[in-house]
Amino acid sequence: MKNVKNIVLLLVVLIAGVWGVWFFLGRGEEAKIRQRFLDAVGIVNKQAEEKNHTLAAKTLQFGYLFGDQVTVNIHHFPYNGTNDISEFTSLVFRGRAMCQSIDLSILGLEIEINGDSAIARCQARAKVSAMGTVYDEKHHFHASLQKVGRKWIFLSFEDDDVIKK
Amino acid sequence: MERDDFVDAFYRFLFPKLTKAYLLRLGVLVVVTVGFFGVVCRPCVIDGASMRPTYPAHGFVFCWRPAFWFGRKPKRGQVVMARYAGRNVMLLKRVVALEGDTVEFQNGVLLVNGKEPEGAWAHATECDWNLPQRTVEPGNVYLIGDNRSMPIEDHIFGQMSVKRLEGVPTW
Repeated sequence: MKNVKNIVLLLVVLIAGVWGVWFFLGRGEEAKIRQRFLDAVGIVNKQAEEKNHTLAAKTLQFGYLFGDQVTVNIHHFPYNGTNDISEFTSLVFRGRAMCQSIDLSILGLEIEINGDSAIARCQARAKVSAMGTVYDEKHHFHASLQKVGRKWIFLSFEDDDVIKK
Repeated sequence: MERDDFVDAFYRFLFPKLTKAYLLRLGVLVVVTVGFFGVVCRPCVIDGASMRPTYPAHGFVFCWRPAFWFGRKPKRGQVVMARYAGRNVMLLKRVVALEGDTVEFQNGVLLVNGKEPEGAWAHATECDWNLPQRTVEPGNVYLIGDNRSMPIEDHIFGQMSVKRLEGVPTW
């Protein structure tokens, strides 16, 4: 009985150890990319009464998330095409200004890292209130990211082909 | 059993003594539960009408992952759950064709290898879809939801890698 107890305790300690090593060492770059998505969501999200200084800070931060050129090719997205970062920021914040509130959330994220580039498959939910109408939609897309220095920046957002008609 | 004994037993049940044996049992229970519901049988919420009437638009189901362990392959007509975006977002669809099969829709009729498949799922809902014939590539299956009453553009379906299949729903 004592042996069984020892084996079980050893197993529990081993499992906890493996999980701990993975948590602190194995998830480094993936965690950074996840954080990048959360940063982007935090910037795009909007409450009904947004203060001007919040808008200014968000506009400034938004530019740091992307490369010099941003490509968007998502079904039904109004700003598809390749734009430089200043045009893209302008377009996004113009669109954002038309909405009373935006509540974006990331439902799922699957990240594949290849050296200094990464592909992230994302399922996002957007609850948007604009001109008295509330939209609640889910979108699936993949984002390409590039590692520059210690940061990951977004290069493109495109429709995902994980399931092909 | 006296009333006081019952109250004592109930109190001990709610607030047990934290002995070594108790903590060991608790630890084993936590590990087994997390392992079972995190790896073997994952709880999932259904949010979408693409499998109606077989599954409701909002519901709850477990994903039984051992269904595709040890090299087991999906079968035609089987309902499967496939990884869509990470482990938290899955598609609940039906396998209508396997690798090498041809799939097409002609005026709402699903044709696999030129024939209408047997089984009620083949025509669970009325539809008017048209899709040119295509062949399922090696290492892939063709997934479609049972609810085809919406326009073809609004329904998520198509060819997907077998590697992305996570399991089958438990009911």
